[in-house]
Amino acid sequence: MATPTVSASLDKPSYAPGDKMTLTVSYADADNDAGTVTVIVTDAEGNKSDPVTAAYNIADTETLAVTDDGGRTFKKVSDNGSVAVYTATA
Amino acid sequence: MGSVTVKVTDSGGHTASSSVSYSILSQTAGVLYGANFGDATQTLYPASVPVARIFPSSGYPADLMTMASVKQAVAKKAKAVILDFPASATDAQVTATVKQAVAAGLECWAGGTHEPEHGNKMSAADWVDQNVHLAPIIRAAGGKVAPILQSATLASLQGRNPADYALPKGTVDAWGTDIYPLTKAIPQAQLLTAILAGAKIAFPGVASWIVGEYGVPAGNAQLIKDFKTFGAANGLLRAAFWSQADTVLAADTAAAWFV
Repeated sequence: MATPTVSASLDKPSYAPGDKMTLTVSYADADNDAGTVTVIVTDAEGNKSDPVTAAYNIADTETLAVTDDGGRTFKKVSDNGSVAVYTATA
Repeated sequence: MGSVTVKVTDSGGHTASSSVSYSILSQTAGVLYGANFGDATQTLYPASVPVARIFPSSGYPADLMTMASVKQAVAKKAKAVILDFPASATDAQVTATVKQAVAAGLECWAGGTHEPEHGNKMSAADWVDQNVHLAPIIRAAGGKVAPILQSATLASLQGRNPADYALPKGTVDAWGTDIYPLTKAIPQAQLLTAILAGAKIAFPGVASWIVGEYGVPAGNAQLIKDFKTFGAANGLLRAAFWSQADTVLAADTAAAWFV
């Protein structure tokens, strides 16, 4: 079982009080549940079709939690499933 | 210096985390000081007054920038305005007013009813509801959310409890208060410490703050200097002097305030 990966970056290394802080989080999880479905049709006489296969991939669901030891509150403004953006006030 | 940590947890319970550090530039360099505009005597205001408290005595006009006090503030090179909206303000009015300030290049700090405790003009529960409602509207218009409570409330004086006014985490960008230290029964240093303690209850998770009104009579320049030292070390961003009646700005207090 693979663990997820995450990396966080801020738009600037330092801020003036009151500045907008933008936090970008990139995350992924290789621990997906992949498989293949095979379908074979059999008629009343027992004749079988050629097998047809379809692959599927069930991705794990990730949840993010952001904490700041400076006491600021980061609010999520977007999240496309692999990159999430948060903002806070410095 | 601060550090943000992001923790990701997948549906299988596996976790990973990443941290990034940041620094906040000198609070002293970041604090801007200004004053009340409108009906205040402004003869002692310097050429540049970065923060303008614009009190809506009879509500803001349809176009904020036509308001006499706003024109005075702009003439004094204001960079930031502190506004507040009574219960009667509609969402459209709040949006329009904040947008007008932002469009004019002004940093706009705004909140719901100013000092709801004053004359019991609004109950604590209604004030909380109003600010929770207005916060996303103010932000969407480009403003910063900073409602103002009386310092007596935050300092748990006069039988008040800051918990009564507690806003949900994330509601405000900065908390706001008005401070008249000589009207309180405790020394300013003790008052300021108590205000910060109360702010952690009323505005959880918010380190930055603004002061819509600070006022002391002439002869109290040292109190101003002490306030500014405390504020610079404790997250103060913007502060305006309230120059009216018994706190009218004098030569000595102006010299201390507008440094």
